[in-house]
Parts: sequence; C-alpha cells; structure tokens
Amino acid sequence: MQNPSHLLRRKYLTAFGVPILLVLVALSQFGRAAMQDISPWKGGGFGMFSTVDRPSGRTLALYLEFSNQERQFEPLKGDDIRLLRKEALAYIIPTDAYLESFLREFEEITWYCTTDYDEHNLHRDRCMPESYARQIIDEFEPGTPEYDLLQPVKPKAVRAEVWKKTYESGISLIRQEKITEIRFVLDEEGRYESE
Amino acid sequence: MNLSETLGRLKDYGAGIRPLDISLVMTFILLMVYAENVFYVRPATQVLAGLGLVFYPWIGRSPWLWLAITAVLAWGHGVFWFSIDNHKYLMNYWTLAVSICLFYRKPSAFLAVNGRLLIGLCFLFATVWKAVTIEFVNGSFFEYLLIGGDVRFEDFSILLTGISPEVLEQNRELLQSVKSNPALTETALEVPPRVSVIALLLTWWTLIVEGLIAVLFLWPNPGKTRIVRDLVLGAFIISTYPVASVIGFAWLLVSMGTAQITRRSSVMKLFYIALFIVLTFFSPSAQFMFGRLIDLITL
Repeated sequence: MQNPSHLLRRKYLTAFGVPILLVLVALSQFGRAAMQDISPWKGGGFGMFSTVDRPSGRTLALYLEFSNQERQFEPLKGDDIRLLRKEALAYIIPTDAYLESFLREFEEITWYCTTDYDEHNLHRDRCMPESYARQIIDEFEPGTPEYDLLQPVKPKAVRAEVWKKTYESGISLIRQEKITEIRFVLDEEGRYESE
Repeated sequence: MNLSETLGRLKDYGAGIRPLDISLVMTFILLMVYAENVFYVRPATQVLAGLGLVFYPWIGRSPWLWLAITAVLAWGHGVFWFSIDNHKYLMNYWTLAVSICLFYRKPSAFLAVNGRLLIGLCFLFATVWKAVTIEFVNGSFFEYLLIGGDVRFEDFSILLTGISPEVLEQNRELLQSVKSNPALTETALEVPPRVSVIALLLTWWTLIVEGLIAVLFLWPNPGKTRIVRDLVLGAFIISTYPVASVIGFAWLLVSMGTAQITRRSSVMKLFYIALFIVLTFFSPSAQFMFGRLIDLITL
C-alpha cells in the first residue's frame, strides 16, 4: 500500500505541476525581456498584443564597412533552417552571443558587391557573401555586363545592428530605436579580429 | 413524443457525456488543423491526433498517445522556442496536462483544475504585460494596429473607425520604408480623429476583460457564479479572435474551458461546442470572404 503523504504529493503534482511550469517559463521570459531585450510577443510569457515591438517589426541591419563608405548586405538564407534559426535568434534575443554567432557564419569568406545599379535583376548597391554571388555569376558568361556588375571586395569590418519600433499616439510618430550593435574588424583573410 | 420530452431526453443524453471527452475530441481537432507547420511536426501530430480521434475513446484516452503528442510538439516547438507564438506553449502545456491526468482512473477532476489554472494564468500574464507597458496603457498600441500596423485589423478598422483603404495603404508603405531603412529613425503616420478614441476604448476593454478572466478562473470556489467565468471567456473569444484571426488559440481556450465545466451542466457543454463551431467561420478562408464583402460594401 502506498504512503498517504506520497499519494497526496502525487495528486498535488498532477493538479499543479503543469500550471507551475507555465509560471516558471513566463517569469523567466519577464526576466529575459528586461535584461536581453527579447520581444514580449515571444518566449512563452504571454506578452503578445501588448507592444508594437513584435519580432517581424524588428530590423536586423547588416553592414560591410570600407575605408570611405559602408554598404548593407543580405545573407543568403533560402531554406537553410540552421542559418534562419541563427538569424531569428539574433533579432528576437539580440544578445552579443547570438549576434556574434550569426555574424561568425560570414567569417573567412569572399564578399561581392554590385558596382552599378540594377538593370539585370541585381539590386542597386547590393553586397553578398560569395555563396550567394556565385549563384548569380554562374548564370552569366565572363565579360557580360551582368557578370561584371559583381566584383569581389575587401571590407575592413562587418557590423550588425538590431532596431525596434515604438509608436507614440497623440503625435502619431513611429520611431526606430537601435537596441544594440556588434562589430568585427576583418584581417586580410576575412577573419574576425577583436577590437 | 412532444418537444419537452425530446428536450428532456437530449438533456439526459448530454448529461451523460463527460466534459473531458468533449474537450479531448476538440483538442484532437485543434491538433490536426493547427499543429506547427513544419515537416517534422505537422505530419506526426496529425497522424497521432487522427488516430486518437478515429479510435476514441480506446486510443484517444490513452496517456501514452498524449505523451507521444506532447513529445512531438515539444521537439518541434523546442527548436524554435524563441519565435513560436505563445499559444503553441499553451498547447504543449495542455497536452502534457492531459497525458498526466489520464494516468488516473478518474482524470476529470485533475484535468478540470489544469484547464482552469492554465486559462487563468495565461490571462494573468497577458494582463500584467499589458498593464506594465506604457505603449499599451496610453492607447498607442491599438492606435498603431488600427492605422495599418497589422493587416489582420484592417477590415475591422475600416468598419469601426471609418479610416479609408488609401490611408491604410499609405501608412503601410511608410512603415515598410521605416523597416527597410534603419537610418530613417522617425516618421509621422496619418491618423483620422476617431481612431484615438476607439483605440482607447479597445485598450480598456481588453485590460478589463482579460483581467476579469484571470480573476474568475484563478478563483478556486466560485460557487453559483461559476457560469460567469464561462460567459466572460466566451465574450472575450468572440470579440477578439475572429478579428485577430488566431483561431488556433481560440479553439485551445475553448477546449480547456470545456474541461473545467461540471458534468451536469448540459447548457455549458452546448455553449462551448457552439463556440468551437462558430469560430470555424472565422478561419482565414472565411476571413477572406468577409474581406471581399467589405470591398463590395465600400465600393
């Protein structure tokens, strides 16, 4: 025969175990939102529909820095779930660790940028990792204008910024605030150096 | 047999069905329709839930089946824990609670407590988040939704505030330009005068009704007033989810709400079943038809 106190404990756990789990996850999400800028919409804290700062409204802006200018770049994501996951983590929970983990995906690669505006399905001033550029270059013959539009470049640094939206009624103003940024200086081989 | 006899028989038949069984069948349907749409979650969830539904109660009431569903959902949700919607968490809590409760010979009472507390806590946290967010309390959040911040609210906004589709379109384009250009740190949106008042009304309606649901469902012994919590939950679901178009969340709340009603309450069983069916008409495809109707009216 089972011990009555053991039975009682089991009954309490059955009745309250899952609700307690909900409380623990929700409280941890409160803490994350306060310390790590996680969007209240996500993470199991039930903060959806409380703020305009939803993940789809956040911007993860990625830049290549050159000596006299900087240009935004877009990573090739496609169906690469691993990269998509890292990218989503970088803007939903924009800690240095998650941002660095995402930017490390672009270490030691060759960068390509367009040198002219788009007349051939290439966007104006676009920069991209080699894997992305290859898909475009492979479609064209060397010497064609399309091929020549993309040139390898050597940036001095890469930078990622995460922005969120706020909205103020009364003055009807939508604002963007930078939550955080991370930057790596590149050496000759494209490796990241700590600043 | 006259009408009162027929109704009496229906009532007797209804009283014989356990809320737990209705709730589990609803949850199976929910899982089949609204499981996370990724290849390693949806097919497995649909097969397991389908088995449970077709072979109910023999397989459908097996705690092992529910544990398997919980494991598949937890795996799928776990990979993207930071980006899934909150009701996916709740769905996982609910299937886990069902699994645990079904290990008992008389699971109804345990499941009723779990259903009640999960609803109450979910609304408690939702209310706290809204109450501590200035952007919500001062009406900014709803104003933003009504002027083009969320495409799901556009038909509702046109009906309620009289905002024109052109203004919505213009605001949407401005919002897109802000998003694609971080250097553009601020821009003004067009807000017709009625929008601010309606945004404030929606703000306070949401705060009051969500807070009330939290209190009513967390209150342990409501006595004769227990019907009030079901009615308030029903009012919230009908006034919110068809507009917000999160029918999966609404079905989940209805499934959990059904589990916590008393066995004798045939009326409340019918109430929750009716809610479940009515919500079907607000699915995205039905919303599409509603949108076309608005277009015809506003032409």
